[in-house]
Amino acid sequence: MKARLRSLALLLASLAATPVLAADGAVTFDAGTDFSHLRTFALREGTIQSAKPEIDNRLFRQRMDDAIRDQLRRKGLEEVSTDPALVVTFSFTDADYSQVQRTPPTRIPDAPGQRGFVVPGSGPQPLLFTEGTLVIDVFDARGELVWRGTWRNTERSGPKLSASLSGNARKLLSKFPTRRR
Amino acid sequence: MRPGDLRCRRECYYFKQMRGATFLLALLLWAAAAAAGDYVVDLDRHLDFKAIRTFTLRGAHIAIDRPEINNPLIIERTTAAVRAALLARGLQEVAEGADLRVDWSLRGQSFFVNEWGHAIPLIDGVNRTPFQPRRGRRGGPDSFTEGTLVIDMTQISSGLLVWRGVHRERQREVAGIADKLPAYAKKMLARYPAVKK
Repeated sequence: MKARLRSLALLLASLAATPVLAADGAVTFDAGTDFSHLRTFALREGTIQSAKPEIDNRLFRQRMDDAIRDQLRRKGLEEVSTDPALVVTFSFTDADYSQVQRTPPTRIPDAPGQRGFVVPGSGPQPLLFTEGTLVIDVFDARGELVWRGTWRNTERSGPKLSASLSGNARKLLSKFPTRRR
Repeated sequence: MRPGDLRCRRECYYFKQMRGATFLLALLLWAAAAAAGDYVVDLDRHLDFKAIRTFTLRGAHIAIDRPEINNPLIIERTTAAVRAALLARGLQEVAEGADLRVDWSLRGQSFFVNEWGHAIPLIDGVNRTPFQPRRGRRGGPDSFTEGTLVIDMTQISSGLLVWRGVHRERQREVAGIADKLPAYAKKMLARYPAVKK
């Protein structure tokens, strides 16, 4: 029974048609900055280096700005139009990749009263996916970088990547410090 | 019927086979769904869509140079699907003085899959990668096309893009994309904010 469950679990993994989806976030900040005194911010226009129509458009920029704005407000910061303590901007790039996927045949072992069988594998097949890199930068009033969040995400298509990016921005900014560390 | 009975063994065997087959079938269906097309819709979050009542259909463009998809019949059928979906959302089509201008376009990228499983993008239907000899398809290896349908809505008064839907799908045959264009349009336009009458 355990062997059969193991085999079925292997089959589940091998028949998955989705590429390996990965997401990786990293945050760095200036430890010498007292973030507790930096309570206001302004958004600067982001940079997008993508040819995908689902990403390179004003509505996507608006969605990203709204996500960044909303998350910073949750952190207790206030958006101002003049003399902000912090200036926030984002940049995004993406690239399309192709890998080769092979599925080996899976042997379902014999069980008492039941003969085992072999689930045939599949030959080399292409696996297309897109990797996007989102960078959110926060500068102080002097123009010095005080905080950077980077999120690298792999999705099977451009629309899925576009849909996930505003959530990724929120995840990054949830780690924005609000007091001196 | 006790577990040791011959009839039980036979029926229990068939039950187990059917249960396993059902599980495998469910798994394959899930895998197929996972491999289906994806779409995303973005709209202007600062615009009051209740004030938008009318639209006009303008651009329809197919940038795939294949006769089974780039023809007036497919363009007309897809445009009709876009029109029907917007009318179903409560908008009204007018010839002049509309609030929205609606355009749609289809672009595509074909791939050639070589014997090692690598997907090589074709340019103008020909494999032009630097490390492969220039050759056409000889009917052996599989190939597929990724089609991208984009529907744009622009507010005429401001000239700004206020709604965009993008659908990407990979199909073995380009004709498969052509057949499904109305369904893609309908699915995306179902996310347009409905106008209450």
